[in-house]
Amino acid sequence: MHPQRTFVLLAVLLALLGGGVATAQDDAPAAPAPVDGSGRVADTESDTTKEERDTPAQPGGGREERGARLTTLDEVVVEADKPLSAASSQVIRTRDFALRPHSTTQEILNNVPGLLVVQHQGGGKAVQYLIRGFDADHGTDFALFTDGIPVNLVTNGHGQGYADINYLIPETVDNLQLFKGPYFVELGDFSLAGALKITTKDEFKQNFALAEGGSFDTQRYVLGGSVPLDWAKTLISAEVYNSNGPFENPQNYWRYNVFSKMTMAPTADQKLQFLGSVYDGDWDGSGQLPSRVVGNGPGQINRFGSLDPTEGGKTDRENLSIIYSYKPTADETWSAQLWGSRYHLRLWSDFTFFQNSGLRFYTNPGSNQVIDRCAGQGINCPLDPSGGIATSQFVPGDGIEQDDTRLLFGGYIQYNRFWTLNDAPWLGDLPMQTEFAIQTRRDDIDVALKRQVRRNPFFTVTSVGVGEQSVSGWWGQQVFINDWSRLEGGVRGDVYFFDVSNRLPNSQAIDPNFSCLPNADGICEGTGVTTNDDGAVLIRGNAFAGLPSPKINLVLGPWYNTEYYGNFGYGFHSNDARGVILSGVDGLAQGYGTEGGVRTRQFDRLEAAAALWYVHVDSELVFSGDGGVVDADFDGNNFVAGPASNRFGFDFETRYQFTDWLFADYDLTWADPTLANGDAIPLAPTLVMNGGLTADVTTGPLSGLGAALRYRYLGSRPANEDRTLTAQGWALLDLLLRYRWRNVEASLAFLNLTDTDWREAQFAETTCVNQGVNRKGQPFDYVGQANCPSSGARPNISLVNTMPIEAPGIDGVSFTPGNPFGVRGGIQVFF
Amino acid sequence: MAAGALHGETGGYRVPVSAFVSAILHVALLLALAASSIELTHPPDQRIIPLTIRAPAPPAPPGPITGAAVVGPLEPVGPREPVKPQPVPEPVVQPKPDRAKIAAKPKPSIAVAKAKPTAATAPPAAPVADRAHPASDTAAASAGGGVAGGVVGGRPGGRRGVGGDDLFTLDQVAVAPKLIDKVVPVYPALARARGQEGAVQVRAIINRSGGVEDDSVRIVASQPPFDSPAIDAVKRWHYSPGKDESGNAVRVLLTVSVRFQLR
Repeated sequence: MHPQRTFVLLAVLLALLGGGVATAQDDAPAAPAPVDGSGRVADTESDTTKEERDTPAQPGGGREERGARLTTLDEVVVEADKPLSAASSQVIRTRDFALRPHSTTQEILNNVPGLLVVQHQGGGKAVQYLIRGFDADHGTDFALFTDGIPVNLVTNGHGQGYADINYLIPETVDNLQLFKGPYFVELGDFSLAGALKITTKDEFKQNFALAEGGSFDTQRYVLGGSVPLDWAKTLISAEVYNSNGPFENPQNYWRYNVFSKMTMAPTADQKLQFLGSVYDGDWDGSGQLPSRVVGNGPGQINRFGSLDPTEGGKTDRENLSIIYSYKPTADETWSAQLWGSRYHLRLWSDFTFFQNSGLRFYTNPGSNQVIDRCAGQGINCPLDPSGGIATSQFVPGDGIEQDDTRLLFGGYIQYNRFWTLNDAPWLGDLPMQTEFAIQTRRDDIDVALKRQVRRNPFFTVTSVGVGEQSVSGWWGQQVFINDWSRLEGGVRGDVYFFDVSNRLPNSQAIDPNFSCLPNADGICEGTGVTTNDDGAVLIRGNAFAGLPSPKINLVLGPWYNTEYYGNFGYGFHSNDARGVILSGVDGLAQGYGTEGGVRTRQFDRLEAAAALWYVHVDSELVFSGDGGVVDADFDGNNFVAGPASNRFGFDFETRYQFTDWLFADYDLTWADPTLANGDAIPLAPTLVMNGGLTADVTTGPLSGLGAALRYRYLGSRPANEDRTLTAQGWALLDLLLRYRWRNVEASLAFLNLTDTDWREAQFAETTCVNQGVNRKGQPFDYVGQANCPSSGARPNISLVNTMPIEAPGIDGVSFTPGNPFGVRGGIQVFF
Repeated sequence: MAAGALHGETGGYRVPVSAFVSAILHVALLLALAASSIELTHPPDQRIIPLTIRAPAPPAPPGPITGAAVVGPLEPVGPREPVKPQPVPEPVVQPKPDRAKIAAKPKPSIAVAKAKPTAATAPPAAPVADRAHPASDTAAASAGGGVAGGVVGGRPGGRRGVGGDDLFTLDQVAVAPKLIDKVVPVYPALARARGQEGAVQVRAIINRSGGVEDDSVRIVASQPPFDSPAIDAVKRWHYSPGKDESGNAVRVLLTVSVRFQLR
């Protein structure tokens, strides 16, 4: 990273940090103001205390010592549901998921109604988000924020919108705010399907140390605490996590997290928050296995085996953020945020094995190894008679390396005012709330796609520097028409600047994979120096894109604690800058959505919501199994800008309280996703359910005992456009028990109670598998099937062994296996 | 990875206009931060309305019989007074029920209270507990001698309030009133719709049967949209009566906090 730039960013942040501390210290002694939203209440109490003392003292005096006792007040809390703009929106507080299994952020996200997240390729990679009929991949249409910091990364080395939330420590989460649909004026890029805003706690009520461990060599340690300060709330937490997973090739995932936060109120009407976090992750992946090679048959491998055990990754992310809010009057609020992050990812993957590159090594009668550029390409290509360069010490294939190093920073400033429009025609005085904001973000990215074998890169396909800048502004207006109707409208505008500069030289060193190329006549030619024509892509240029996104919401009610919602809005996702420059696709892909819904709360026990919705996307990002890494597909994850799509669907969610200790919840999302031509949207989820029973005993002999039984369901869905391949669904059951005794809490979790064999992540891929040995040289005796004929004996360079391959490749579902039954136990001590 | 080559040697990459736009925005943001943190003192939007309980009528001049401590109606002898009172004969004259007393009284202040249910419309300095305390009537009536709140036939050193209308505070009763029937205040629709939260403090007098004296309910810490729902609800609350050490129900002055929050 450019040292000067890094320095400037840090300097600005540190200066602000210093300034903030100074301000707080200056103010603190003069006005030891209470912190946070409870500030005003605390003021009230202290004033009242004073008054209590003064007043009765008038007649008699001599009561000072007793007066204090008067201040212990009975407090009655009146609760109402937060105002929501759509039936499908929700606020999920920690108390709602405190009991459910969550030792990873992935487990927290699985408790969000209508959202399922799945992992492929091992621990440290971002999860895939399934929501509302979208397989949003790593976040293409699902926006995530932690304390206002955007998690999604534009033009990411692995996938557009890649949202890796592993930097979050589960224990620090305070609440999750879920938004479904593009109806919310403050949400822009990646929020077509929805968004999730995660807010962390300002402080821990008690310091704690936690240790847990269990199946698959899993261990996790967390420390959390708050330093008691008069003038600030503080929170510091650190986490170490390690797991090998159920794989034969240990996952060896290590995750280190440190998170700190300080919140203060320099004056009663101001709030200032500083936040910093550091994350580092490192893992080995076992990859996705073509389902045809998995089984107990002859030559098949175990579902937890691996064809290319050299997959894996390394990543880190550091965040700094300052949030400031100021409430000059009861009806006005200013808020602003400035954040900056440093991010790094190196990811080694191998999705198709020998499909795109073929197996290059071939034994000719003279036992020299020559390179067959045409293997797996379906071209009858004569071999280089000279014998070529036959002594390379690796087995090439489709392995890729994706690199991403970036600095990103941004912020917003927002003004919000409540006011009344007097004497509006027919409506009289109209209370309103108006909001204006501008928002900006810049990513300076070094991103590259390389081909690799055993993590050794041997050819660079693209390497670019990208400057991606967005400037957004919005105006939001709420009109409180009367006690039972509220209209929200607004429009946001987003402008994106893409600037891509090539970093590849004009020629690269010799690459055996490209030294023999079929020319127009199908004749091999060319050996020696590889030019970039052999598959490298030089990208340079700049582009600009902008879109307005109008949104409108109507909320009616409540009547009998029931509210009705109607929503409509435009939204978008941005496209990868490399694709924008190279293929000229629009920088921003627009879509719109609409929804009608109802939300109710009855008998103070039942809460339910239902919504019917529709989403149209102008250009769906479609999974393309054989897109290949050298096509115009730079995310390497085979999602390419495709045709328009439509989705209809239905959401339902409910919570019920049986007794003061037993709760139930159940959520369902059904969707009918289709491409405009009637084809299926590959992998788009059609039926998702989650739910469970939760017990939390706070009185009686079992006081301190908690239990949760959780259920997750994903229906089978088409894996390709013509619905000939199916991604198998699954249903999972987890049980968590917890017992708290004084300041010690013990927990025990049984995950995947029924020991279901399930495919966590799935793709339709055309793969070509070699036979005889896997990438680490471990024996692998998968026998090719009839439609994938062996093309003869080919020696492996290092093992000199027979190594038939499948050619051409075979279409099928590749999958990452989900964890089998596992146990996890933990002890948390509070102090 | 060609690290350190963000603005690459390949030369195709220049700082675009957008970088300057971004810089300007960030600077504006910083300035806004800096500027607004200068304005440090703004009145909190919550007004505190001081409660002034009317000064009691002066105690009757010490007569030949009375030797009781001079205390106002709000200053009865505390329950934790170390010297136990002498055995007190049961009051000869039973006090009239509160209701009767209130009914007998002209009620201008009730009307005022109803006309101005929210403290927001009341001048902040207005005495909140301006209603003439029933005890002072008693005091006035017994101006000939004795102690305010005393009982006809009572003895020096006896305890006041037992049979009268005197008001006890929480630390003066042996048994505090307990809320048994709570009417939950209504969350005001507009406040909820705009996401407003807050808390108010309400002072009320619990009568000897546990009811809330209708016109005793006052806001002592106000937050405008929440004041009237809080008053309306508290008026309908019912308590178990507060009791003094002898187990007699007494009138008790209470302050409760009503917090409105969104979940």
